[in-house]
Amino acid sequence: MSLIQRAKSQWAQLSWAPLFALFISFLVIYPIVELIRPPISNFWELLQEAIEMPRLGAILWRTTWLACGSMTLATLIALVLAWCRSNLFGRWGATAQIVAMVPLVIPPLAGVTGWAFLFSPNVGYLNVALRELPFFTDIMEGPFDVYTLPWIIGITAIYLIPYAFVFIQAGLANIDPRLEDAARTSGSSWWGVQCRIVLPLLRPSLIYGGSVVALLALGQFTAPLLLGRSKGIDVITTQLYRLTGTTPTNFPLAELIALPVLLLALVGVVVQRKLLGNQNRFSMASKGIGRGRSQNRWLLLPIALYCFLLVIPPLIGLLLVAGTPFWGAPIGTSWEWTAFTEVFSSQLMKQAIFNSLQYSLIATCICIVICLCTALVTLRTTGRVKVILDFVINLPIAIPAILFGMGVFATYALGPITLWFKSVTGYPLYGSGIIIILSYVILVLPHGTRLVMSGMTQIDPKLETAAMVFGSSQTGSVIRILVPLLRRNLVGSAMLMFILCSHEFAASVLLIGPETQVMSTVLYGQWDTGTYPQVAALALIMVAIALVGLAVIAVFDGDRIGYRRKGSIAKFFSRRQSVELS
Amino acid sequence: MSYLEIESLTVTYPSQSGDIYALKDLSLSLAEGSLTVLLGESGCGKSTALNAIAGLSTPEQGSIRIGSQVLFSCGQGRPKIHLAPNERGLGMVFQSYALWPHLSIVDNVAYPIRRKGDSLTAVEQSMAALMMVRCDHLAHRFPGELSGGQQQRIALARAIVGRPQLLLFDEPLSNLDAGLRRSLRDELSKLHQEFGFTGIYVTHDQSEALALGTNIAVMQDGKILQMGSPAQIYQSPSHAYVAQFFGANVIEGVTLTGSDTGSRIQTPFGIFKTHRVGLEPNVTVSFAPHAARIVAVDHSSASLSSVVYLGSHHDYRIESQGIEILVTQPVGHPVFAKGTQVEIEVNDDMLHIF
Repeated sequence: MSLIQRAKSQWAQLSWAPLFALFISFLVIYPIVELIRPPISNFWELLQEAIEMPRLGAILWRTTWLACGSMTLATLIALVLAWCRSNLFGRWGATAQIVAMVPLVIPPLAGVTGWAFLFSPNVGYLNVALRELPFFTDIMEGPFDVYTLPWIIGITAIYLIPYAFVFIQAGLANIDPRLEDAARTSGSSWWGVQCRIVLPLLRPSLIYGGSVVALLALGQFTAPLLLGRSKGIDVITTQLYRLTGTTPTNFPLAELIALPVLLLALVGVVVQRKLLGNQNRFSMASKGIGRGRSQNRWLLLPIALYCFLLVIPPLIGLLLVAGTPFWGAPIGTSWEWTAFTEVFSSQLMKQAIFNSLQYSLIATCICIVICLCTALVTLRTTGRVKVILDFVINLPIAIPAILFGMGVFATYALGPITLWFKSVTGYPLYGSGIIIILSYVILVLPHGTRLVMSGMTQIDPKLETAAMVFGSSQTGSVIRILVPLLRRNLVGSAMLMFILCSHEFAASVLLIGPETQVMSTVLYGQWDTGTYPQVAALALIMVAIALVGLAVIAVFDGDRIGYRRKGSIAKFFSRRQSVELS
Repeated sequence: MSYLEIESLTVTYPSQSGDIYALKDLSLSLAEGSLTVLLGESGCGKSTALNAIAGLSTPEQGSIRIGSQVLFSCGQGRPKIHLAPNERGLGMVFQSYALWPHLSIVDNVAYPIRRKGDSLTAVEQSMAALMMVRCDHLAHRFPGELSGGQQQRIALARAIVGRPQLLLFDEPLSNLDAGLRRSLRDELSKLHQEFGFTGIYVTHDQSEALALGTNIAVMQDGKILQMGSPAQIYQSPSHAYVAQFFGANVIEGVTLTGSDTGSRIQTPFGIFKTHRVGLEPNVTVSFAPHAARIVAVDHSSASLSSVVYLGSHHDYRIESQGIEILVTQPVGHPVFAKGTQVEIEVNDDMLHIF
């Protein structure tokens, strides 16, 4: 028995693990069950209704395009970014990493509205500017139209890049640079090495990342809803919203349409877990010393292009609209704060901002405890409970948020639980903040858990075992050893979850009541009624909240206590030098 | 004429406190069929030199030439030439084996042949190379399924399969356990005697260097301190550092008298006599642990701080004035107890004075 196995067996009996797994499974799976149950009972009638639904074929066709198109785009761009990043090192490498991840913290609503402000065919700022060019003088609209399927696919892709990037970059970092040296000395040119060695080795990461992104793309909701609605460009998710979020509702039909998506997601997660377990053939014979030896500044060019062409423009669009009295007002006049003062003087919007912060904070606090427990069970125990929990916790990433919104709605607004809750408290569960918090918890759990788990895999279980040998209880060793060692990951994970909660739209839009509006739903309402400066102002406020979250992470990264900082940056440099000199 | 010729190779790395020299004006020439060991502690520049020869890094200046082919030249009026690694026709064995995990063993070995454009006989040639390292039965397995020793054999087969004009070894055995290391070392030595390839072998292990090298170059701080046959290096080290690296005791001494017939050197462990004359007043002397004899002497400042019995011999640690040395005595010599006050005597021909 190896030391690690022995250390693991110390933990094999986390007495609360089965109960915890049961609780999480209930939390995640019960809404899915409630989603599947009704359409099964009168399946054939609903199927008839669905087939007779107008434009069903077009909707499925467009959804496929959206999923495949944005997956391909996002994966390709992420591949280039990750490749550049892993061939840079030191300060530039770290910068590239951060830049690539930025779209993750830009609220999709802000991004989509920002792009619309720039490329709306009539008054989009960049379209107006382009029409000034000699090339386009004789046209009244365009040249670009953001309200079309290619733009919806493209904009969706931008906000999926970070997800693909994470997988591909991890894959590249795992490739021992000596494998490339070996191919060079064996007679391959530089391009030959990239094609024969790097790409084939990256294949598992590409497939895995690509499949995750495809599932995510399938569930994308924001861009199709905001950009496709005026021209009736519907995909499955917007159709689901039409059937459940706007009157007249037809919940059973929506649940039937959701079935194939749900099935696809389940299959996707099962296949992923299987693939992950079957990577031994691709495990590197030796662990690399970290790649990135060329300090070629040209590698920064794609990163800069990405930043200036894809990340920053929508933010500029937002700033332009937020600072002017109306969308389309001539630029160059002075900046006005009117939109912001209107936002802060409106009772509705103030309440929404407060609600968003409150719900996100509570959900984050609950989640971080669940994340830590999940990581403990999946990484420090063996057996079946671990496998089940690992599967369940990853489900929400594959299942579109709007489906979870529907499921939570079906479970807690219609089901027996809400009756029980009302008989106890006197209030209905639907329309209270509780179900919004609940859906947030489910939706952001996989994101937070992954960060905590990646931190915990770096920590030798023997450290905790040692604490137990020297007199700590199991809980004591977690609190005194694990949590302090993990604190950067815990803070990072908490802030990521907080940011994602505060941006959540697809599930919120189904679950809000008159008293429980959140920022994203109010923003959408304003977009619908056409008060664009307030849309832009709200979107910028959402961006600002995300920035605060990032700042907290940055502060914790530059830790005062020092051993971590030394451990990461200083050691990184000294190790590289010693490797190069020896 | 020498086969490989390296001239004043210089490599620097930028750092906060100015440039660090990884290689300083390194010059080296090798005869065809020789296996030269670059020996030194980590950070002495030996791997940097290897990477420069392979073309994996670009030196600031110097030149590298094999036969009449110039691989690299730069600086001091030389024409600027830098052949890419794949144009140099070398073979290399890596410390981490660096077998490509997505290719089968036979495809790994056939890789250099196929890059030369010879696809027809690639499998045949690689099977022959695998046979040479006695791994032909593993041809259709994948690297992840092999043990470390097998992987290094495959890496060796891949390096020799293309009949490279020069073989480079980057600490190929240091990831293996001691037993395996010795047996692979002996195999490598046999392969060299059989096929007579020209090679450069980088290691920090002096026993590996002695067993494998036809030549040894001891490196320190990016420079070669001494180069010669294993026997030359071991028996007559030119620097105290070289002697120490091969396990010799190195101590400071004071020259007492110098006459025409010889000198006497005072050390904390006794007075050594030598026939050499004209020594500096302060000298450094070195001698191998087995070259000294222990004599019990009352009122000596040196005493035995530990005695360890190792079957064929005793290891004595002798301490004096805060300095400790190691002396080994074969079984059969008188045995001393710990704490005994002693002096040591060293034969003149085994004593090196710097």
